[in-house]
Amino acid sequence: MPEKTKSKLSKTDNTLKDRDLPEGLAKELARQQLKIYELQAKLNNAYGELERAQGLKGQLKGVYRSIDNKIMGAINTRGYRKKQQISKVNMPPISSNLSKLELLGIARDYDARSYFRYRSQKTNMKIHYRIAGKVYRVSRETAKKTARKSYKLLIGSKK
Amino acid sequence: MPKKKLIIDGQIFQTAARHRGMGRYSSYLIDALLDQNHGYDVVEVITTKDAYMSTKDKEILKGLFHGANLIRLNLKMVDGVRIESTFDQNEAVLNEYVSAQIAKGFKIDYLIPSLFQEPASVVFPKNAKKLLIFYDLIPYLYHDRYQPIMGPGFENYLKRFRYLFSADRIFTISQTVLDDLHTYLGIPLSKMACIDGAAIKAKRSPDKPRVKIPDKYILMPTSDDPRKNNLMAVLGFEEYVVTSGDQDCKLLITSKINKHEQEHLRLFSNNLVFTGNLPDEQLDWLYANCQSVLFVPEYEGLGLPILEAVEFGKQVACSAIGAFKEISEDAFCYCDYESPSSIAEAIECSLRKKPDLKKYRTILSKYTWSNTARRLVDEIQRPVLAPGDKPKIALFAPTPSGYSSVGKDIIESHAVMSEYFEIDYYLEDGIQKANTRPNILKYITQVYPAESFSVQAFSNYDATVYHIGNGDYHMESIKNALYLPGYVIIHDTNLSEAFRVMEETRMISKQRLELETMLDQKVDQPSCKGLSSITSAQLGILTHSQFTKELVAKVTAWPIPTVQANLPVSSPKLSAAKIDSSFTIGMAGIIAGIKGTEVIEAIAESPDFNSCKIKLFGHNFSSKKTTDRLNSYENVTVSISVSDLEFQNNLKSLDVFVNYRMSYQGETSKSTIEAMRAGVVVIVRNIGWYSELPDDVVVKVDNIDEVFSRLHELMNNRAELRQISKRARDYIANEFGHEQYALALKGLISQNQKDNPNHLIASDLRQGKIRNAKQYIKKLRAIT
Repeated sequence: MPEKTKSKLSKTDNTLKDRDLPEGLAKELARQQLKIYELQAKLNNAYGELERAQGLKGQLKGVYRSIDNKIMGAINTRGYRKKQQISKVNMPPISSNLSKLELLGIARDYDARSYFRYRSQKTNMKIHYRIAGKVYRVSRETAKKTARKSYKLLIGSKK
Repeated sequence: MPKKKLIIDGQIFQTAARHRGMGRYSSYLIDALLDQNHGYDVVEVITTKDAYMSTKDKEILKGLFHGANLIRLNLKMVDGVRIESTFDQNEAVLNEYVSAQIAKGFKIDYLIPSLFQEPASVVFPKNAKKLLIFYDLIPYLYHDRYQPIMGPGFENYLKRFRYLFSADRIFTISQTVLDDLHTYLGIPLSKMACIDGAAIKAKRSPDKPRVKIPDKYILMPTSDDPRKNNLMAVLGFEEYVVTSGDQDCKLLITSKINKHEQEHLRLFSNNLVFTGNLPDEQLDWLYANCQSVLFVPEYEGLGLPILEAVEFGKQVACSAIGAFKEISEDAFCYCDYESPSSIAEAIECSLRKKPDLKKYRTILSKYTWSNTARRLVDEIQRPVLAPGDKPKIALFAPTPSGYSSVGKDIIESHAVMSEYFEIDYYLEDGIQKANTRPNILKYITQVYPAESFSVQAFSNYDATVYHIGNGDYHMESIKNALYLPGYVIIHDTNLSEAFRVMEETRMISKQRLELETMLDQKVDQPSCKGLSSITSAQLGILTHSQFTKELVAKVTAWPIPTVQANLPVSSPKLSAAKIDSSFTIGMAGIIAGIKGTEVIEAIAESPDFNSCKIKLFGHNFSSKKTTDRLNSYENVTVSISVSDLEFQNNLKSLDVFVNYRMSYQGETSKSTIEAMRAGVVVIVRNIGWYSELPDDVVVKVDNIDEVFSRLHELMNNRAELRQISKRARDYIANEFGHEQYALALKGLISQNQKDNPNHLIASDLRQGKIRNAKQYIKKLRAIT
């Protein structure tokens, strides 16, 4: 049998089989199809990333970013105070003889001492790490600006 | 009197979308608008200098809008730059332009015909009436599919929501889309209007395409978008071919379908013809010469192919979805898009049944571009209400992307709440992070992590509102509510689980938990745990039921202003489109024993209900063994981790929703409210909040046996079922809106606090008189 006819027949055979698909399986197929779409989209993105990364400029950027991430990551993780623990507060002895109001009074007293926080946790970096971070960021931006200026001067002079 | 100028953002016509649905819709609409007596002295179409356009394209663009001035501005497109920077630049450019126009004596209306089309960066200027045309919420509703496909573009899509929420008037292309915006994003009805659309017909006469066209074909206008349901359509078509023996009939698929998709679809059928993208006049030829039109997507905002088929007098086989049922309840052959057999039947019907030309004429007289443009002009004229006085509030809530339904509530109520309050959200993630829906709040308003709250932050607000529930999504809320007096919204009266997790995560000590337990014993209310120290420290309390209101009064140390309001939902105008005729019983929300899975299992086991379909859907909190067991019943389907859209679609497919709580903890059931909103009859246990619902909008039972007997009655008395359904819908639409909720909260916040000792603490905290725990305790002791 010619190869072309054979492949056509096997394809028809597949098609016939698929025609008899039970509904559940058909739904499953649709789900699988969706996954294929998603994977294709991811693959396309990955190719795009790869193409960008392969250029010399892209590689340099990649190296710069990885070093920068490491430095900033180290400053942030080392400098960050652990999540504020609820301060340990002593509670006066309680007994079931106390009235509801007395118990509530103790509870509120205890809650205020445990949770009272005047300032937000936003400034939760240890001070010397905060300074180090700031110094690093400022010098990084200055270096970048200088590099850009020198590049422009260099290229400009050639043109 | 100032002259009126309409400025239309025309950047969509500089993108690839100008040839597709949104671009074509926009150009036909603007064309029709310019032909109307629109009432503007000047109409301008703004374009960007940032887009490359050939001379030919420029000529086409100029020719598109006769009677409008084309203005080119220095607007930036999203092309390798952060979308926020384009927002900033474009806002600045437009503000400057609009200010100059105002200085010339113009009053400006600014219309965005398409908000989301990349790479255009479309923004609203200040000092103009902000008008927006909205097509659909598809990527948001199907976020689990579109997020991976769109990649980083999905976040940009969400970032554009800020302009959707800031629009003064929104015009939707169908009632279905309007309902979606109202239901899922809570956009108030007063801001929106449906303007429909119309068929797009080429200006030139139909022309036969150059590709080989079979003699007999069914036309399927589609694309390779996943929601178009191409595979099911092909399977349905093949089933039709096999069952009818109609071997000569081919399925002609238009639009650009990628190669992989074509190959994949061809695996299932040898009867497919792909034409690719075609000019309008060739598409018209295909409509004019087809046997019928097949269009079975999962979702559409309007359904232009259906209107085009009607224009050519062709019968249509389409999915029974809201947008198509909205065009006509009975003019077409409808099917269940998930079932190839149902699609095959619809195709057979479309070939057998002649189109009802009377109904077609009615459709065509409603859906015209001139009607659409007229409605747009009329709706634009409606005045925009100026915002009133807005207190600034901090609102504690679970993150919207989590499992807690309160997170969903705050997204749905934000649009209305922000008309009454200036809100900063303090959100918490809970122990288990989830991605049940995109957290759009962070793109449209101020959002902070709940743990960043402090006394200093507290003093910046007129009021602090805490959502209090029984789970790990409320721990920061409870912690802050215990010492910073605000307004609590009580979702559960039993908070034992929340306190247990707080102790486990060392947020409270064991001693403190024991103290709370002792307090519970003192107040002696079995369905109330962990509530008294929270409610006693507040300025006000909002409850969702009389049951909770009375309970709160019993456990709170002194009288605290308390109001009751209904847990809000938006009610869509359109009713559900149910195609399946079998009687369907369901249980939804959290799938767990406490919520009544035992009752559902008993129904599944009963031979009396063998002919019924039983659906369980929502988030699963029962063991795998339980779900496997439930799934093993032939007539039971269990769907877990469903999206909001799937949840609502499942709800709409029910006849009866059984919500028999095995134990009750003062909660209000959101899924019950949503089922009633969809017109589903709910059987509830006669307890707590459920017993407060009017007797004629739900079916109340006192024991499990009654569930069975009432189910029987409802199965055999469809007239009663319909009556209860209608009353339930009306009741929810009239009593459960977001406005009543926002007003109740605003009323509570403005109540006189003279007799409430917590008011003195709150006042001193706000004035900076209390800056540490010692001062706090001193004040506390002085007042109590």
